[in-house]
Amino acid sequence: MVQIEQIKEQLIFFLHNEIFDPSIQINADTDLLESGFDSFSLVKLLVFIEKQYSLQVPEDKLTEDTLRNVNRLSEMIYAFQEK
Amino acid sequence: MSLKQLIRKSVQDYPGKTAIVEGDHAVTYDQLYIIITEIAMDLKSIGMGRGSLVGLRFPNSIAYVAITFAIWEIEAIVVPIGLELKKTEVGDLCHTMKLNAVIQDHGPDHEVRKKGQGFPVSYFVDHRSAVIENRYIEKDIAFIRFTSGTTGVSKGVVLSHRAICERIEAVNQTLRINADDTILWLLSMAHHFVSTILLYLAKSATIVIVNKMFAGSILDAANRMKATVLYASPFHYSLLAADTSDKMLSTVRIALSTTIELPDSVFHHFYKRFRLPVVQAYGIIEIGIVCMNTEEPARKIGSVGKLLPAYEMKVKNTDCYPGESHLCGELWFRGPGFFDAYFSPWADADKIMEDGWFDTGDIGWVDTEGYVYLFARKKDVINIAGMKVFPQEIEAVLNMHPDVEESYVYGLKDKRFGELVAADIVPKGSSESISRNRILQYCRQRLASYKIPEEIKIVEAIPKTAVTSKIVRRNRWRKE
Repeated sequence: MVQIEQIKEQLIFFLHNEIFDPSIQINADTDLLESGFDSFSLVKLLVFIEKQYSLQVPEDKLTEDTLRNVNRLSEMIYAFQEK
Repeated sequence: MSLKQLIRKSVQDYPGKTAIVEGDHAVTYDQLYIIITEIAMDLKSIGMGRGSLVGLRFPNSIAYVAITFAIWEIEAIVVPIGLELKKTEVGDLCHTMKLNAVIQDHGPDHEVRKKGQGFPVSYFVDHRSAVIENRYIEKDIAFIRFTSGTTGVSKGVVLSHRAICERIEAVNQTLRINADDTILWLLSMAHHFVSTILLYLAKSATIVIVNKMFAGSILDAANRMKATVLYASPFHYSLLAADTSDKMLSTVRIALSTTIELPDSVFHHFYKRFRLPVVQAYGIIEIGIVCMNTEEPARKIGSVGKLLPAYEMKVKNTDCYPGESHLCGELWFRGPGFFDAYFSPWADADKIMEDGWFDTGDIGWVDTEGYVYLFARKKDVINIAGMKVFPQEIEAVLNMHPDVEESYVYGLKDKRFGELVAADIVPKGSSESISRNRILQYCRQRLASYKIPEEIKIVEAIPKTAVTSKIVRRNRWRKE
């Protein structure tokens, strides 16, 4: 099981490298949607989560709340791992 | 008929009606027209005019629509540039197309241009050249769009004012958009405009731009604005279907999906949740929307519907694609509003089409009641949740990497997104010396994120045809 701090680090690394413009610095509290996270990015992120954590996030968990920032996203992934 | 006349008609007939809503902002038709004319005058004052090729790289907004119509107002040509494209891709596009100017939503502070009383629109213009090609004027061109980037086999589709006017009238015989409609808009305007946004404004409807992709926001906007038409991708429909609130879409008369095949499971989930059938349509940029399942969406699930009245269809080479119980063939269409030319290299449409017939390259079949079903695509394009890319474009980038001898890019079937990008790579040196991470990093700098391969396989050789040494592209069947 991957620890929550590690999930956060991995997500920040992924988002910084693959989603956002390199000029945008993100941390666990950065509001992703306000930073330009769009449906193109969502596809990329879901594929990443599926590969990295063997987890297919169900559609009903894809809400503004769970995708607000890396903290919320990591909590969701962590909770799924526990199940 | 030109496109500026279409918007003027709505301004005359419904001046005070809301044309577009974006968040807390709204503009009426006469307000929109004032913004359009102010931007048009500004663009004229800096040397743009009839036949100018103007790139537009802007997010979904009232401004996007106003600038597009301003470009048409001065009889210039709109070239949409997707926001997802990376700098090098945009650079290639500007260079290949010899764009006269590029309009963007950001730039240095001292260069900002603000027009529009009451609702100021800010934009930046990078004016590049004043050379105009005569053939754009002769053909009365309005719009040129590249499916993805300009490299590889993406040719750029050229549409005239006539073609666009004809195709929107043809589709509206069935869609029947009118001044009572409110359309909830969820897709990228850079990828969808002529058969959609333009049609809605030509028919005096109201467009509500929803820039959030989650079910809660979409449902709130639909109910608040009393939306009658929903135009979205299968991915949006699957998010909506999973919504656990008790909100309904009671005012929606039609929920449309066109970008990629709608999985049957998404249809059923959405139908169960909202008692509303998602209507599939079939359209490609060359010919417009030619099929739409408005009559029997709940009985003919999986069909893109019947041929629209304005068009003719034929199914060719029916013996070449067995494999299912139906005889499949290549879908050919003939009718109004087809494209005028390919841009790169320039080829007039009448030289490409035989007697007005266009070969879509898509494979499908028709049932006894005339409902069309898509079966597979012959063309190589990979469709990632509705975003399209030619494999050759990605191969061109991979092949430039110093460690890559050659590459082969293809679509991997994916339940959720339709397809994902995968690549086979033949390394230049030993297979140990090549790093997948370095290659991915190289791609990230040069390709929009959705085009970056999700899977890279190191292989010894890539299958080629014996005579021409062309890569053998495998048939990628679309049906599960």
